[in-house]
Amino acid sequence: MDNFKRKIRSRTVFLIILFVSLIAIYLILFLNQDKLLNSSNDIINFHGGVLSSFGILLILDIFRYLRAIKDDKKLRKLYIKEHDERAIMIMQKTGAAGINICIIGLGLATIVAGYFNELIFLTLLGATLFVALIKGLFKIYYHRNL
Amino acid sequence: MKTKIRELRQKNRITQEELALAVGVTRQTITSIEGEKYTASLVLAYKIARYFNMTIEEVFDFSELEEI
Repeated sequence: MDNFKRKIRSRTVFLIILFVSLIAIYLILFLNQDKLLNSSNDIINFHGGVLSSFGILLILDIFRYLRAIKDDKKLRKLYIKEHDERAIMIMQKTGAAGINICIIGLGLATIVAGYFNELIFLTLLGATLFVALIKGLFKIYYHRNL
Repeated sequence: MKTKIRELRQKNRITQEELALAVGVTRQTITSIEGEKYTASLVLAYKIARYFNMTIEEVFDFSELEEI
């Protein structure tokens, strides 16, 4: 459990650094809006929404980890939650099925987009190939290492 | 897979939460194993059997697997 405590401690430090960096990036972008390309309000609002949601999730995780570091019972519960074999299996199955559906969906969207717009077609094609490549690389890696 | 976990828990007056904490899984995992929705790994089966001072075969029913 001491190893896990150390892991949680370093994870907390990493999340705090990430949170501070996120705030800094947002402030830099917000204060230099006029120097950036003219983006629509929708895009700016989307960026704000994504960054603030990510920030809230980071804060929640930081507090959860800080509580676990102080309380051994909570630390053990967190350890069990993260190492529960059924939860791990659910995550693996969800990931495997999800990525296949993503590839099929992106592939279909690429075909449809090809009839309307070349730029969207190429963007979707790139995304499809990227996802397929990642899946393929992971498959090779696990076939060699498991 | 059929198991005697529920029976053993009730006999020893142990809750799912207590067993789960002792063997290092969540309560939901114990519920799934008892409900025959999830088959425990070898390590977990060993931990559960050891918790009740029994062998794996005494807690888990492998008769269905023998038919395959």
